[in-house]
Amino acid sequence: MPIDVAASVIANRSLSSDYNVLALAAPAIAAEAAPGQFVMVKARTGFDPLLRRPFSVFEILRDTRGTATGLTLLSKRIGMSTSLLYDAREGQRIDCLGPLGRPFTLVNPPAEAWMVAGGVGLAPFASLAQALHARGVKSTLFYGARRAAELFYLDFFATLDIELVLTTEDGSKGERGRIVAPLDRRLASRPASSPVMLYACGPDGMLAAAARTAMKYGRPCQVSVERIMGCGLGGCYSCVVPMRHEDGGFHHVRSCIAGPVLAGDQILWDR
Amino acid sequence: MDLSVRIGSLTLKNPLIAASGCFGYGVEYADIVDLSTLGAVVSKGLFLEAREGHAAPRIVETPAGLLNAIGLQGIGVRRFVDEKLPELRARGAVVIVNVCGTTLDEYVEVSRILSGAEGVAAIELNISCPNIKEGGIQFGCSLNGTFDLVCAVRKVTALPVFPKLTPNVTDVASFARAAEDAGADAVSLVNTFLAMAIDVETRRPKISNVFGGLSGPAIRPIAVRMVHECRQTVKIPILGMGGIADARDALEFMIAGADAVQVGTASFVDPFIWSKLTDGIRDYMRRHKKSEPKSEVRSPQTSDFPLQTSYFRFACELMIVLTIYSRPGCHLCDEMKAIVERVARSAPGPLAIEEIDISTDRDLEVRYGAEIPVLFVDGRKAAKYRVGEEELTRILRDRPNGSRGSGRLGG
Repeated sequence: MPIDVAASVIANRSLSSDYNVLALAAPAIAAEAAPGQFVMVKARTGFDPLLRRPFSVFEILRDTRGTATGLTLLSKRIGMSTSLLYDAREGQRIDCLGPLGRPFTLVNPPAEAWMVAGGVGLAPFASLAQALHARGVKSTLFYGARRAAELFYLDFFATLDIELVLTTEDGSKGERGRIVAPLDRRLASRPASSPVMLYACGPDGMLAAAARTAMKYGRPCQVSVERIMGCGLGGCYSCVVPMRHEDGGFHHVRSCIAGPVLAGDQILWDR
Repeated sequence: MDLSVRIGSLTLKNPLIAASGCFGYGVEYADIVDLSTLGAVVSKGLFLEAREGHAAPRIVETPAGLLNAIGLQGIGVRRFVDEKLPELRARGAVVIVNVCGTTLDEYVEVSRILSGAEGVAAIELNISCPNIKEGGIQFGCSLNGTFDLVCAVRKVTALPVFPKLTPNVTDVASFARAAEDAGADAVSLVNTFLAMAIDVETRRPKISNVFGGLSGPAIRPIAVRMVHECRQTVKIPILGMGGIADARDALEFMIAGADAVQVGTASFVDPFIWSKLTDGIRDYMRRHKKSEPKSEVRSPQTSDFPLQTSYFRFACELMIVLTIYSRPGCHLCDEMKAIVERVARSAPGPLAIEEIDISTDRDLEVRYGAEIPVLFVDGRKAAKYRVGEEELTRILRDRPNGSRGSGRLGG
């Protein structure tokens, strides 16, 4: 059951001129959150902005005894709400409702986990990587961004023994180009008998390419979609994704309650 | 404290209703809101068959507002009855079903199916969705269409029927009148305002349907005005809505003439808003109770007059409140009612009329039995037996609290 808290800002760390990591004192939400779930955040009270915005839970913060003390959000400044979050000050209160949505389904060894992130689509993978590490799952992060300066938290993932495959659009770090290119090559060279689960989050174009690549090699792919959401609870029907229907047609599912994690091969990417 | 309100034959435990299209089928919220504590829940709009609605993006935020074009995605009335209604019933929800149609026959058929289902309290006729091409609003934008549709549904159901009116007309009150004349038990208003938002960088509309319906605090003052216009025109109860975000907003609608209110967009922002709204209304009643004579703390009496409820009277602090003590079969009482009603229609400000049948209360019978009808204005005795139109107009003009009423509402 989701909890609504007026969470204090513990810290606000700027990663670049657009990206920040906001730490919120929301222990009750953090204690319940599973990798892939999200929270609905209102950047300030009043009618401007009016609605909350959805954010993946980035990290779960814990004290030395392992008790959840809060959570962080990875945010990219693109509009009013994200600008307010970028400028948020310590001690400021921010309404935070969660945890919401269906989380990732975790795999167990010997299956490997391959995470595919594009830009701010890195958001659900910090907590997923921790959960996979705790299970002893061998994991790889395929991570693409515009430029080297927008590849964040590389040390964090390296500490969890996660192999990093990086691309940048300008070639300033890793391979030049899009992240699905190295993903395709790795899948092509992997024996069919070696199980691998794909997890993808990023812009729709990247998600569609990742899902299609997974289908090409017969691999399952869980995608975390991002849609404009009104409520996050299934009330408004704003955040729909067209999914394959058994009758051959399609069905709009609400990504807030059926997702945000959905089966990549069930989404009608061209619709 | 009793917050109950009567909407025709329906009694709601409080005047707070979850608006259609803003609360899923209600079951989505069952784990976080005790549905039995709401006055009622209005389902998402239902056609005979399932619909997938429009492609995303379906909403965009505008200043203090929400622009949406969902396209009435829904599971169809039969699946609703089979899959959602039992849970709503088990949770103790009062369920009002929002009924849609592309043709008059479809509205009738959906209503007929709901009439045979257990656990439906009322039908809200959606003749006002701005986001679908056929049906719906074409009934809601024509006086004859509204009248004919309500008549047709009225014939096939004993359930209370509440047409939901569109604000996208020149004179919404005339549509409320058409609905009333056709036998509607109440009217819901307003649905969303037809609107548009464009991304100037891409030069494309911000939602896939190009046009959408605007809701949220931005529309509230217009909605309040429309509710008040309808209150002055029809006698049937009004379910008022449009941008209510807190208890004061809800009270504003009730002072304007709504008997109950619906809340939509604000419950997206705060799904736990309901208890805050009831607390806020209770607090308001407590604060305003002292100034009210004891006799006003009474249950409403059924009459030909607009229903006013006991706590609504407190919300009416700013209105002129006319109370008639009467008895059934009293000729003078009928005459006075007619005159009060006539004067009320031409009164400049918001005005509430309450009729109290003294035959139901021994104390009142003793006090007023020899004097009825007795007229009170703002809790002060103003006339007995008879009152003339000119005399009543003068009483209203010269009453002691002359600054109350329309003056304050008008700013």
